[in-house]
Amino acid sequence: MVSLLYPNDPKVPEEPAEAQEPAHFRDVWLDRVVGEVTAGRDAYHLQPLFYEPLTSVAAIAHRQDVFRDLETPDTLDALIHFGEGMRDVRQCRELSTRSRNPRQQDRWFLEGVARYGQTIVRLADQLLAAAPASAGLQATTDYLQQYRASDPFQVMTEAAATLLRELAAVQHIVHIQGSRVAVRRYQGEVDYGARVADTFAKFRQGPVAPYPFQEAPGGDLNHIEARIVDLVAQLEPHLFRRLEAFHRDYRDYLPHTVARLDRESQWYLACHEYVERWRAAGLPLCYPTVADEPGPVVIRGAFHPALMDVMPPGHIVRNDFLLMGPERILVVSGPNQGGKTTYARLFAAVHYLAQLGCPVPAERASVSAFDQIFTHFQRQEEAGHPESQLEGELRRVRDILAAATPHSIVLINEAFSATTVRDGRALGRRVLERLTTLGARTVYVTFLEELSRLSDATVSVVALMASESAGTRAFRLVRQPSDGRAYAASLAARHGLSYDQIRQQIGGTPS
Amino acid sequence: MNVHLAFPDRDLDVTAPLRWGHEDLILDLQLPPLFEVMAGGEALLGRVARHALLTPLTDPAVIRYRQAAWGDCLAHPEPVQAWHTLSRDGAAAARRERAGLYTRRADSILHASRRAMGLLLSTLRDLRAVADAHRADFQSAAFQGLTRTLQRELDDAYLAEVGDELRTLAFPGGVVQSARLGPGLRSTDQVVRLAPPPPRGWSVRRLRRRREDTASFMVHPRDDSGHRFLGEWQNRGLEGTARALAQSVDHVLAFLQALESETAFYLAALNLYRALSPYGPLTLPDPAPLGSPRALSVTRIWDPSLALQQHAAPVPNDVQMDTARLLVITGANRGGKSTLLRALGLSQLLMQAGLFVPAASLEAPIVVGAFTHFKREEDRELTQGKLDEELGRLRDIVNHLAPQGLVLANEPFQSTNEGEGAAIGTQVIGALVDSAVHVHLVTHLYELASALQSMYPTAAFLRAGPPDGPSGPFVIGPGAPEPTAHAEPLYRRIFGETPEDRQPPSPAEPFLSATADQDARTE
Repeated sequence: MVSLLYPNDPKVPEEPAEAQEPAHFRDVWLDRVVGEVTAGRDAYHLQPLFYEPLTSVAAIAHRQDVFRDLETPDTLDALIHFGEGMRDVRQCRELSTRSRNPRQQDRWFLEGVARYGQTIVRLADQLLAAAPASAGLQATTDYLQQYRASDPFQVMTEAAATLLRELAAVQHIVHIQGSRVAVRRYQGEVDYGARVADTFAKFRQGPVAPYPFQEAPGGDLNHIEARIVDLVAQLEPHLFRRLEAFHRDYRDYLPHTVARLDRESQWYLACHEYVERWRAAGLPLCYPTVADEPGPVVIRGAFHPALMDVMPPGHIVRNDFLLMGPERILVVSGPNQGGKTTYARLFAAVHYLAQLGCPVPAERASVSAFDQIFTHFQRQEEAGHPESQLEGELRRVRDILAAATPHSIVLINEAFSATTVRDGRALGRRVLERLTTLGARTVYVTFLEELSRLSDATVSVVALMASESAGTRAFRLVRQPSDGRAYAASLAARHGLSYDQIRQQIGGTPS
Repeated sequence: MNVHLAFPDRDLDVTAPLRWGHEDLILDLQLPPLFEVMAGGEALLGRVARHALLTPLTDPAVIRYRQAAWGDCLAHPEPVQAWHTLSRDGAAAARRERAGLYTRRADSILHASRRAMGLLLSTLRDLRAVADAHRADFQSAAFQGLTRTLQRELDDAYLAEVGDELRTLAFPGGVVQSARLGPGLRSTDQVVRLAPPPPRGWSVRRLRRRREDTASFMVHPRDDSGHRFLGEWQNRGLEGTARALAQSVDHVLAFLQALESETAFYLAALNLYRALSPYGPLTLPDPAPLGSPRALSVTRIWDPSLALQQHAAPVPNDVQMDTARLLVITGANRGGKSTLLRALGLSQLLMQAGLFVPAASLEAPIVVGAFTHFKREEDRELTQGKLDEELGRLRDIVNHLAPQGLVLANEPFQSTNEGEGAAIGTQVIGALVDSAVHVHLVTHLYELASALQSMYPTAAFLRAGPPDGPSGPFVIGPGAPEPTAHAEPLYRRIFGETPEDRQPPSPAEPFLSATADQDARTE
């Protein structure tokens, strides 16, 4: 079995069963990420491939290797052209099936086969030249070399090319006078449109309106067009009989392996295009190290990719995560709008993308595998009666604690804020104690900063204002005890109007 | 075929976006009365004038190109006006011919374009006749070039050729097209062809054989959809020809539009010249190229907006700057400081539009982007919010500034107390000047002005003094800043005098300066 997505290993499922979007997707903003990644590729039905994180280090390496290959422009180019070529092939096939004119069906079918042949040959050539290093792409290259050299493929593409060449050579004249339509062979008559353009060429200056005309109708030939085709077919009877035979002879030409390769390469291209946007915006990406067993978490310079849709890349602040030794729980406090929730989302998003085998949005990432992700986020629409809200929250946290394992990731965001500070602190302490015992990796966002000093498993992270410019506030989350320091700077500097700031902005030389 | 009256190498594009900050320039330099005079009742003239004034040229060669063309227009306005009217009316008539053409059918477009082109042909003939009659009148490269273009490109032979082409485009013998069969057997590569007449000397037998090679069918007279499909098929082949002709009409219209706009520029200048000449001297300025060490030097400069509003000749001023790019104007309220600042800004725009300026003589460096930062009514209140807003506006200007830019600042940093205002102001103005930005500053802040004086000893300092006599004008002349200027608003506030009371101050009043030169003048 040749697959770009899974190593050739019988233990790995060939294709996830009909998968549902995981429950945490919305809270972690992975729904937005996957929506953006798969945008414009609906036809491939890629979403389910994002719903099943990989379960072995080998499978992750298999995909990371393919992604590394895609950083070679030649390999990337090969897959992009393959995707475009297959899109054309599918469209031709659809046109052939939908047509009601037999001559037109034959012609669309021929078109599809011809484009398919070109697409395969080009991919085989390009992959061979690019010499990919990954097991997935090497197996693909080998398969394509065999396939293109096979007799059936050779004979079919040769026949298609010959027919196309001969059909393209047929040029004819149509003379319309009122209701009379006459068709004859072309004999070198002068191009009149070009002469008109020449006559008026001297007025040509800038660009002008393109004058789009009515679209040529798609679908079937109408009876006038069919009559014209019939007259042309009368001029070339032999050619049209061979076209008919070709369609009959090659009905089922597309192997399953190629169709599958098409979809899988689209998954990689979708991810690749997405992460290239980070690179283009000057943001980092890296291939994470994923350990099988629980261990330290080191993530440097990470950002949530969904932020790219809501702010200019220059405003995105990057953050670090560090959990060493006994540390398991990041307790995040700081001012409102300080990016605390995004910080929690980011922790899970980096882990999830890593376990899909994708590059992750960080300078460096070393994580260990998770089994499940649990989130408890307070949502606007749930704000109801305070008592029932608190009860609902407690039930859900209890469910999470019951289902989570030491391999799980838990995000808890502003829990128990519907009650008094005293109650909230007491409940938060209990929950954190249980999470500490469990040992699950946790990000706990709270306005009760004292919860960060609970044990040596908890680490305090504080949102600090990094800069204030042009009306946007950016926060960086820093591992340090919370003390509520205020941010202060001079008046002019806050407006970017200090002497140095102005000099730097204008860039003139001193007189 | 190009007009090129406004630029030696391109057309004037009045639809190009204006620079950032142009709204402030219009407001602060009080440009609307000027635009109105320049329009003279014709909206296009006003639009072109507005665009040209707010899109300053930076190449002295282009400025001189326009100055020369303006000289031709002033000496011979008739052909300029004639071209303007002909191009405007000719284009309008052709557009009417195509108006209501919402179809995307090639035959309709072809037909309407044929009629429009027929009308344009006669306009082109008239334009050339004006060129023929006035060729000897022009001295400037711009108008000589246009005259030559019209005579060379629109000669009789060419105009006749266009006329013939328009007749052929009616397709009296039916439409002949070549075609191929595309991927879905739908006709493709449809090209309209001229059927060659049968060569002379062909025998009857060969003619008959040619007919035998032809297969044909008739669309039944009652087959309505068949006729429609046939029309659609034919239209697809006509697209290229229809597009070529329609675009040619667009190109001729673009040429006429360029001619209309670019003559409008000079006619607007003519309107302004005629309106301003009663009030004071007008002269062609001498622009110093970017980076040249030549400094601003102007005699008898006056503010046209004020003249147009008051229907009276304003007081002229002289300004002589040294190499430092900083001009600081201090002194009495109502002393004409803002008026002078406006006159300087407006002259800069007029010069860089390639026009005359309101002065007896003016030599000025070309600047890259001029910006105004004027005190606004709403800034008067002393609140932290106002200062934030003012600094925000200043920051926006800084973001758009480049070296060799110009900032006209009228009483900035007044939305906070004097100490803080001066401290911020010294920092900001100093950074601008050191970044090679030209700054013209009007300020009441003594601390700011005196700090700038010690930082930039070669900067130009002017001071507005009180009037010579009871009804005499305020005088602005060279003078160091003095700490007394803000005594006057204090006086006015305490004594309840409104700005409309143009009472000359009595000699005993405390805001009079104590320096020797002013004492000499007042006594």
